[in-house]
Amino acid sequence: MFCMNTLTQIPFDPNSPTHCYQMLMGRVTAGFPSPAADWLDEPLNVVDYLIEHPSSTFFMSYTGKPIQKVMVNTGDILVVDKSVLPRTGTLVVLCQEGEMKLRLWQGDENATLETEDWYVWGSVIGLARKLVK
Amino acid sequence: MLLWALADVNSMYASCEQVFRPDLRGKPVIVASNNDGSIIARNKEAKLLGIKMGAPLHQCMDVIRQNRVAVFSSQYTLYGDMSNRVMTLLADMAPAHEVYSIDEAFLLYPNGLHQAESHGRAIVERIKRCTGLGIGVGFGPTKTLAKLANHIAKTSPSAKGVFDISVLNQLELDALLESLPISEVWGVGRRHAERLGLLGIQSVKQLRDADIDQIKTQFGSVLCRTVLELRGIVCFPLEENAPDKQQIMCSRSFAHEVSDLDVLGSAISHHVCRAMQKLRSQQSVTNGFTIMIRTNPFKPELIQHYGSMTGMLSRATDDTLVVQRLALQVLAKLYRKGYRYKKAGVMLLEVQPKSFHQHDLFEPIQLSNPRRDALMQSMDKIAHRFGREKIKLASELYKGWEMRRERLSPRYTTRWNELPKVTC
Repeated sequence: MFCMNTLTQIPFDPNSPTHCYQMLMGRVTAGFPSPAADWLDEPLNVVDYLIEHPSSTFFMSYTGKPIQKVMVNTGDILVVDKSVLPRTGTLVVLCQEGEMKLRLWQGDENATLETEDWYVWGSVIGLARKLVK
Repeated sequence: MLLWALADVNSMYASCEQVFRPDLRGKPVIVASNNDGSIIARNKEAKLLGIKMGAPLHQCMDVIRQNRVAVFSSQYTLYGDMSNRVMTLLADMAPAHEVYSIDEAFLLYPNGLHQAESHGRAIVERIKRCTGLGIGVGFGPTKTLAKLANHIAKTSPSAKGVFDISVLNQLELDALLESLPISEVWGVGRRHAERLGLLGIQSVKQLRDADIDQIKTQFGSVLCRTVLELRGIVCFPLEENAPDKQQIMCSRSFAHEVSDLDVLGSAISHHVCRAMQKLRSQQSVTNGFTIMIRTNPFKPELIQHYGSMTGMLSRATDDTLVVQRLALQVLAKLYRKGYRYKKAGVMLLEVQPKSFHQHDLFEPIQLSNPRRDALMQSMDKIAHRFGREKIKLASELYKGWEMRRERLSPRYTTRWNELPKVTC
């Protein structure tokens, strides 16, 4: 394998008839392959941790008074999965009077998610917050 | 028996806006084209008000005000992200699929489906639940029939969004095709429809039963294949990988007319950058380009100029800076002082895959400069990671050629600082 870095040290002139030979002056690097090469994992990604279904998951930002019971503060990012059906006690984004509101879902699995006056936008499945900005 | 489906999002752009605006539930919504010129999307409620597709926005202002229609500038960042979500979900629901446009996909079931209609309902339900968007699904033995079935799925009240044309018996099928005008057939444009009308062919049934040799000699082999597809014979296969573009076009009209050469050059530089970025993303090179500038044809009182000029390159390239420098030289020749220009554009010509590129026997092997290749890669990476507006050529910086996008909504799904807001 040629190490391209060394090429830049050679004056490079595309019009020179000999520049093809200059190409060959690159250094060959060899040595011990890393013993970890077969054991490499992808770096951890917090988005993968928070999200189960990327196609149906959206981020929203919460503005309002802190909700003590579920520890949500103003400025928190809500991870909302539309495909997850809320159960009793699930935090949901509820659309009512033209606004998106954070609510604790009181219904069970079979409760209706949509009426004339309101509908459930999605279930909040996680939170993201920076402690130091 | 093989079966096709066409899934098509209902009023895609208007629906994307509505998903993030609970206050617009059940209200009329329209989306305007780039520059807020004409109407390019309407939801069901807006259609009921008689607002027409393609109508100039300023002509509809009365209807819009009286009915409190919500108007949006087109926010393609949002529509593109929502489209990706829909396409990913659809891909999971069929053995093979082809993304046909931003809001349509063909699905292919090589062994057919036991219960196509209930599978269609499952698709509709899943897309609605996961994205909030409505979708219509049509099934048929060919792409053309699936597309026709999709039209019925969306327009017939009894279909409720799903229709399978393949389960009809001969009598039902004939009656249905008899009732549909040929303009509803995929691939039959307005001009074809007019010419077919002169031959007395007006209904889809008449087109299906038309003399195939006559169609072939008078309209060519593409329409001939359409007729065969209407008979249930597959002529258009699945195209899983969109073919690379052979021409790449970038153009826009300006909010205000532009007379200054530098400002015009800034727009041209911008379009060159975008076009070359698209070119590199499909691993291609270009052999030349056309520059186009024009004044506003809707203001006949002004002196008019439409100019276009082509520049060919001595060797194919994917280097933005090479094309940009030549493009500005061509523009300087094209430009006429004292005219008020409304639109500028760039088209890349003779686009070909980089790997196919013929090396010249007498030229040194090294055609592209590796340092410039690295520069282009860095530009693309920065643009991809931080946004296109974060890295520009200096010649793009003259202001005054912006688009009019006064009713642009936030990029809800792709920017941390534009997320939808939830309150307590």
